[in-house]
Amino acid sequence: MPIRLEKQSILLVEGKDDEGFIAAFVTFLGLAEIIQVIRMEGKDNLANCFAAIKNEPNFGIVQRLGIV
Amino acid sequence: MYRSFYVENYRCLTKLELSDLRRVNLVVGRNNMGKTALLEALFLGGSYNPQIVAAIDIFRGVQAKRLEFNVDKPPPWSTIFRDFDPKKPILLQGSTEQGKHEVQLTAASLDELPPSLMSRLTPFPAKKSETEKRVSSLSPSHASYARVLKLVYKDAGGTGTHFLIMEPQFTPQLTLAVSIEPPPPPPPFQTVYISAPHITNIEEDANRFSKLQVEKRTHLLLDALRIIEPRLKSIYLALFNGEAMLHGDIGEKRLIPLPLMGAGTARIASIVLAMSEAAGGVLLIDEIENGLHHSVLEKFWEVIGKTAQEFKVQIFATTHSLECIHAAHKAFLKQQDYDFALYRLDRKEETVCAVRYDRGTLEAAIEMELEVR
Repeated sequence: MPIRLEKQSILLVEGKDDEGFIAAFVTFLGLAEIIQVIRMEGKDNLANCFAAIKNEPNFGIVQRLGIV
Repeated sequence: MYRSFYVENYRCLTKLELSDLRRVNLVVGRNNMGKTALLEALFLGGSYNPQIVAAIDIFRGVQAKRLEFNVDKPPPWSTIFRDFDPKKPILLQGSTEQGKHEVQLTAASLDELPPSLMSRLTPFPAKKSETEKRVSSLSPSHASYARVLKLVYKDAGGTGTHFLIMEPQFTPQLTLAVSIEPPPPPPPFQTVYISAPHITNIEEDANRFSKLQVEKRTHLLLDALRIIEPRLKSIYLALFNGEAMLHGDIGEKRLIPLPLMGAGTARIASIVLAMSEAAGGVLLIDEIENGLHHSVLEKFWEVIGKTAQEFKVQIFATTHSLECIHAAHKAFLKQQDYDFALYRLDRKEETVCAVRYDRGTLEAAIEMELEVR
């Protein structure tokens, strides 16, 4: 199933390792209910990643966007 | 080829613009977002003949069993207007390499008809049959039952106004007379529509295949069909139950009618043949992946891209399938020019708008496994 934006805070990370670590850290902090971690698959493609995030059907719910 | 297309007041589409269009354009979106309506709008926008309005509901499998002539009832084409209101003009504007063209459709009152046309409407008969008496009791004159649709077009060559007039005829029974006045000019380019509930039109496919044979281009159809039937050696036109029908030779003892080889075969054949028909124009395909297994989709899109280029056809297709989107992206990445774009129709408040994915955005969305539909 494709990923849908479900939370108001989105944290973009670079790759799979970062995703695993940051998602676990977010859970450890008790913030998993409000922060969604999404991997970008490479930092060289940031403009297209932003465009893809912005184009996602649920982008309207997003209030905060962070990049690690 | 359209560079952009604008729709206003067509069915659920209040104001919708598609910009930066490509050779192949895939349209996605949730149910009831207006994907099929967009294809229909493109179909109407590619013609200056108001008569095609009468056929538009048939694409969806909806056909009126009878038409009523009551002044209080809406005209039969009211379904295509926003809020079923024919007074809200439908505006269709296209921008192509040849320039801009525009089609506007609206209900017209009898007063708007030129006097020469008004005088042609059948006068109410003096001697009334039972049917006539029944109908005449509802309205003072025969002409007031007439329904008029006005089409105004504008392009680089000028402008024109054409009327579709539907009026009841009382001889021998109550029937419907349809006329288009004045006769419309040919369309700016050919537009062909393939609907989602696809039933092979055997005669149409046979005629298109004959044309392809004359042009010595049947190899394009053969190459396309080999995607799902690699054993296919050649295609022939032969009689089947007295009807000219496409047959395939797959090395068996006899030829097999193409529609009997499977829904996917028939679908691909119809699409390729429709592309030949729409050469230099536009082909509209609703739910393009219907009948096709996911494993053939990438090759299918490669063929679509190549054949569209060959016939210089612009394609607008809809899909609900994520596999179909991924396959299209992969197929066009292999081509020299990524002449493909994805559009998603979204509803924002009460308005449907288009979200465009170019090559980079779609690539990123696929890599990030993000929803695009």
